[in-house]
Amino acid sequence: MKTLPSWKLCLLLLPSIGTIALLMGSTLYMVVSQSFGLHNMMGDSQFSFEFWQDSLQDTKLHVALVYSVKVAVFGAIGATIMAYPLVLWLRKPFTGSTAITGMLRAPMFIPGLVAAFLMVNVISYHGIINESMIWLGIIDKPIRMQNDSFGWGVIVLQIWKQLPFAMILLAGAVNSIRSDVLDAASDLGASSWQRFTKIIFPLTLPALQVSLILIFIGALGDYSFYSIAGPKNAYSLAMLMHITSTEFFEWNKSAVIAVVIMLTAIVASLIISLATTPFMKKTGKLK
Amino acid sequence: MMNKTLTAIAATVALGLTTQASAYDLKEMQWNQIVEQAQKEKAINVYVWYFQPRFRTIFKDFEDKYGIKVRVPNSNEKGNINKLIAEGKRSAGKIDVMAIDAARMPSLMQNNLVYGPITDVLPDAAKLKTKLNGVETGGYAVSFWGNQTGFAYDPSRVNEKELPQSFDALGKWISDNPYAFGVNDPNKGGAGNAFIQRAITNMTGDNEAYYATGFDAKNTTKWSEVWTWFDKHSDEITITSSNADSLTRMNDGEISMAPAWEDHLKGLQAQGAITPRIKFYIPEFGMPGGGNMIMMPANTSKKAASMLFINWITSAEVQTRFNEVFGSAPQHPDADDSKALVSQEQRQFSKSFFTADYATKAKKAFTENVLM
Repeated sequence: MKTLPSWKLCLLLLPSIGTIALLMGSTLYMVVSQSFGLHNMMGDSQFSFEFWQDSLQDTKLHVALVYSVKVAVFGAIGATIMAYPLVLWLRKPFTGSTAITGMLRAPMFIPGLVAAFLMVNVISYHGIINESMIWLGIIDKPIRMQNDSFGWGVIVLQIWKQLPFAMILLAGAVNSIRSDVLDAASDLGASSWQRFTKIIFPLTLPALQVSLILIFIGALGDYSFYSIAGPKNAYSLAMLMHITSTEFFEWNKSAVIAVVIMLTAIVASLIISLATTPFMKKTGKLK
Repeated sequence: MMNKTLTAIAATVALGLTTQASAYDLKEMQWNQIVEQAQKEKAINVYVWYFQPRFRTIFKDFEDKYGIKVRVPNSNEKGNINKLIAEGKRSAGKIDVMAIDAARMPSLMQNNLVYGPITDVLPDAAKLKTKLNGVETGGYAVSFWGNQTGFAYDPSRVNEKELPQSFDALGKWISDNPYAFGVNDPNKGGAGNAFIQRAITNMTGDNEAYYATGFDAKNTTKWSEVWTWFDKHSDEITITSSNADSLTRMNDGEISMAPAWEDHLKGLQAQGAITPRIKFYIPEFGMPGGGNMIMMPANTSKKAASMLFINWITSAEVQTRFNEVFGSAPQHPDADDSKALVSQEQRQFSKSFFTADYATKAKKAFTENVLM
């Protein structure tokens, strides 16, 4: 078969690579440059480490980083832990399984802002939960649940929103395990838990790794859940970035926070990869 | 043939626009000539970032009176300013009239983006304010909207005879009624920032520098006393998400009192979104009042119609209507403000907002020392 010369291949690839380089590369370049005082939105541009030094000593950034990482970790682990039993339950089709799968995927189609408002309505001072508990005589007066200081409200929303995504990724891996492998394990005396820990879990680790990374990154940079349902004593990284630029007019420090979000996502992805890869049974290069 | 026709049409349209944009000088025209020219211009785009649906309804009166169509695009404040700047170098921009925060005016005027002084043309100019929130616009913009902060409260849960009038009384009320006092995040609503500014002036003393341009960090050294006060009450005050969240929580019965905007509360009550039971007062220790201005970009191609609209919106008649519908404080001295939520006696407690540098510093310091 005749192959194209390399220069023609390069030309054919140029539209897609060029788009990526222009759209993503230029944005990345701008944000990194601004974090070092270049391409300023206001005032003179001058290379400086000042914004990084100030930001890295800023308690607001420390609080926001810890809070965002905490919610992202809880959200990613929570969504995947809940996804496993559901995926295993729905592995073999049964009457109504399609409807259940459809319902479980519904959160993917509900915008985060809408979901956050719905949840706030449910847990508000005179929301459904408080009113139900008063009606049942469990409590005398409503409990203040909205914007809890730990961030449980945001964590619950992240798990709810990301669960279908984790299910789609894990379902592909679980369904690819042949039934005769699991049947053989049963014949050899393996219990359900042993089948999960010795066969299913190791064989689905690559999918788990991908879902943990993608959910973590999504939750880390999210804005809407944190803004509506988050605690009032902490801003997430995305909120702090927005407020730093539009309320405090510190665009360079805002760029520093943007870079911190990206670096945190990269570091977390590496940690998840390094922590899970040694346990994978199914390894090999993609061909 | 087709190309020639299209070129001819384009040339005619371009010539028409150019003629329209530069054929007259408002400052050399009589007011009746301006009205006559305005009616020939048929339609204007008015950019205002809030209450757009209700403004569209009220602006129909202008349309009926002068036969000039008013379009109010959906937009936000920052987007409007960005559009004005982006279109600044065009010979004719899309924006004909624009509502604006006074703090934004100096930089826009420096960049020659604003037409003026409009007070050289407006017949009622002598009665209108050209200075707002400490910013003098030199007649390039006039105030069309007055808003006042104060405390919204629920009289079914607050004894009206014991409404706190001093900061000491407020502190005691907060301690006696834990979680009943709400303050919104100042980064997401001006009422919270207004309260913080008054906390600063009441606890550390007022300073003329807060209302002048320029910034000196030495003027903020005592502010730590204010953050200590907030820390002391941190387990008794409910921090809310925004101006609207404060009123929603009051409506829901979670809190009983919170800093709020008079026009915001009245507007929501008029919509039926907030119970009419909620009342509003300005405490004796003062709460800031301010407003918004209106101006026309330098590159509007419909200067006569825009000027006529600005004259109409700042008139006593329309200002009275705004007071009835929105609860905004009238900006024309001949307007009637009897439908306002607060009495004239209480308006004497109205104070000025800090200028932008000190207001931003207050928000940032509150975020660092109280919120996070």
